[in-house]
Amino acid sequence: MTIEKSNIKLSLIEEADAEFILSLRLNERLQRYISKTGSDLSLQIAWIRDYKIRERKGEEYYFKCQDLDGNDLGTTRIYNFRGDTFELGSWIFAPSAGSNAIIADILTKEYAFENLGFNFCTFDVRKLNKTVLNYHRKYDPEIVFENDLDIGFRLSKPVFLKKKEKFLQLLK
Amino acid sequence: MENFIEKFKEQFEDPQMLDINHGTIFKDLETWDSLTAFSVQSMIEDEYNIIITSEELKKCNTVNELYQLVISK
Repeated sequence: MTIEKSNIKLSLIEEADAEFILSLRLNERLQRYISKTGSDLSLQIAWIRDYKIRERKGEEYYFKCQDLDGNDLGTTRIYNFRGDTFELGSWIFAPSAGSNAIIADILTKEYAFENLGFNFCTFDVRKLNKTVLNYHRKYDPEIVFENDLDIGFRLSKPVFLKKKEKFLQLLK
Repeated sequence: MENFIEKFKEQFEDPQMLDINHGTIFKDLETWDSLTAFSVQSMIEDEYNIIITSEELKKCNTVNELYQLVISK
């Protein structure tokens, strides 16, 4: 499965992408607000092998984003499917990706809402990750929990669709 | 202009650490990135009901240039 739109391509993660994922997750700047990852490539490959089983069952989709020249830009993931709700995560992009990181986020949500038929998206953001928090708040999501570390949000399909059009206009 | 600068500054990760004025070359600020750029565009749309596209924003260097673009629309 590949999603190609707005000058980027999202394709499902393969074992061969393990090194790229590690390079993102071990990047000093990018790893500040994500769960810790070990540097062992074989563990990352094993994780992807397990993920591919969940992918085949339709339980989870983990995407690698590339530009149209085939340069790897980042990753995004939808998982933890519960009824009409999915969770969004693993949104990590190289700084060089620029606004393509936002387009990838929009396309991932669009795929989950429009193609998979979900009605709600949930996601957690570290309170200290202020730039990402600012970005997500632009969608006016509902806050579903808050603790010392994180804020949990829920975004509905109609709200997403309304914001999506405006945001894509800004990104031109 | 002062109100614009204040709102512009609020879009950064570390607003309290920043000294921003009309002549600041905002792309040179350490915490300027694509998400901050998007937040600035979104703030302008919310506050001024004006669309500044990414291409237009890329052509601006200073806060004043961006402000002039906003008021010219």
